[in-house]
Amino acid sequence: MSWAVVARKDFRDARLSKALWAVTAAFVLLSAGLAVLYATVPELSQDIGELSTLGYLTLLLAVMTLFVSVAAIVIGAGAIAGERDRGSSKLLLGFPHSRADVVLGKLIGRTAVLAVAILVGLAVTLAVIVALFPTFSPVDYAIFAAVTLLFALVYVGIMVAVSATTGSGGRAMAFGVGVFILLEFLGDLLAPAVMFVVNGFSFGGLETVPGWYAFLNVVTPSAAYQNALGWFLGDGTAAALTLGGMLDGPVPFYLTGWASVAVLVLWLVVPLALGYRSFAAADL
Amino acid sequence: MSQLDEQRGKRSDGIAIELVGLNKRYGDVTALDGVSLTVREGEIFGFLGPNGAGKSTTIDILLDFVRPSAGTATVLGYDAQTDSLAVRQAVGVLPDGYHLYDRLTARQHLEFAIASKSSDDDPIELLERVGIADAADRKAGGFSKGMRQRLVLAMALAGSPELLILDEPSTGLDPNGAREMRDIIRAERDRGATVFFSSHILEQVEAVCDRVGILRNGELVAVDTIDALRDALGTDARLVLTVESVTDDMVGAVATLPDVTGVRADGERRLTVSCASDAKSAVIRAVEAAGGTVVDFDVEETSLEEMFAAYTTDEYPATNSEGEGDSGLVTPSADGEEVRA
Repeated sequence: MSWAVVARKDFRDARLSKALWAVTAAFVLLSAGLAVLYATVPELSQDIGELSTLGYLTLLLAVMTLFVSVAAIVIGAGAIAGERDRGSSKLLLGFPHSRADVVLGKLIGRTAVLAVAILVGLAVTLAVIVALFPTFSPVDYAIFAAVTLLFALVYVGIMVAVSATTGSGGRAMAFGVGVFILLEFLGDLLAPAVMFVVNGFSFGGLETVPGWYAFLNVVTPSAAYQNALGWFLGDGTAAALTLGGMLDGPVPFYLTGWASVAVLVLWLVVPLALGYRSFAAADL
Repeated sequence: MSQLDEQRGKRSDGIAIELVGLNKRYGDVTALDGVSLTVREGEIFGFLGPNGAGKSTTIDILLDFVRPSAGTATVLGYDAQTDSLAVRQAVGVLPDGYHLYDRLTARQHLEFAIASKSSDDDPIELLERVGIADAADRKAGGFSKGMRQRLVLAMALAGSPELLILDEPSTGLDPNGAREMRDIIRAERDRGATVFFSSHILEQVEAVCDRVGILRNGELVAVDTIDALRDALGTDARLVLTVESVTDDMVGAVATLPDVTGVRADGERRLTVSCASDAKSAVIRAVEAAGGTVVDFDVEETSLEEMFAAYTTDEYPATNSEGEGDSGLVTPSADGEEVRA
């Protein structure tokens, strides 16, 4: 288990990063703070009318998406490129680890670091919820944690893949931020842009939307994460349900939560495979 | 050594490293140009050359950090490209230009090395061998260059490797540390390991190496024992005579001797003669026959620096043949400029 040796070394190293501690502290404050606000400011919970785990999680989802993606850049973008830049990769690869072991070990080690941050944040928040909310739904909370950990794995994977393509830590960070902007901001424009083109360069006369339009809306990692959670938690935010009235037909399988999980798995595998190919061929 | 052979259970025919026609180009820069070299098992081999000659590139190819443009590299019978994991399992590496994990302690570095090799070494024992056991629980980020070098050497020793590849091992070490490094290198050789190390520091090489290879501009210009390389240069001895008064007759008489390759007058009383070792008494006799009285004489062997310079600078032919290595001394020279520094 050569990758496990790399992952353990990496986890030990990365968990001591000050930047990571800052991000974790920010997340704990945000997540617990949001729970306090949700419990004490009536306007935030008035949609549902009562304090509920589900209502809070819906609020937390947006915060979590941003936290995971930004933290993944901090944690993942330098994973391989930074080592090559500094020269510690010569120490690492002087030992009998294949480059695939390094990519996999980095993925697991860095994801573990982010997972600890997420779980610490959720644990602190749990204490707030139990103290302030009249009810608590452990199942919803567990589902939220599990899908969020998958999302963290995927985003760290994307950043490790970016990191595998270059020998410069600075360039990897720039690429990582670029990918983040592409996925988080330009990704939202994808579906409307395609629709605009397909519809003859206009948005006129659209009464219903085709299924593929809805799918393009949940094809980025963040959208897939949110759709999956919306679907599994059944809080009414899943794309299939919000677009339900506009869809011309029944909810297609590719808008379900499981389809979004499959999309997330693709986002995990494809970038890493490409990143590995580049790293495997590189001169260190 | 036989024990290691049995452990390995494969045939490498007593050859630790074999390079055949190794070539590496980066764009239009040629880093290595047709390097062929054989390092035998159990020897300490010094890989010499000025910075930028291609030493680290060669080592990087042995470890599959970079891929050759042409040629093959075989380490302990394994192809360095297709069987790199087997190579790196059997080899201990002290790389050049490495960086430690600043946030991890020395002990954690060793634990990583030991786990990577699946060996059962004790981290503290390895740290004791390199003399930094007292810093086991300090973070490597605060280590001096010398301590870092010792730590990486300890990591290289994990798993009792059959071959140690050390790139500039004495970098950052004080003279005491360099001596300890040499002791460890010898101890590893005595254990049966092969040691391949690169250096531009000649004393290191002279003190421990069985053979050396000299690399210059990506080409291997010489491979032999240090003594043989010194002999091949021809200027194997330099005789400095102090006489009562130097005359042109003396200079002429010495210059015509068959084994003398250079004579120079240094001021009024000194003659510097470059000659074969066994010609020294003939030189003294010739001076006395020409009417001189030898007050004192001193013999200097060609220094390693001179030898190195002879092989690695453009003033001198790349591969030496008889009588060409004396270009530093001219016959006779009136102004007493020092020959080669």
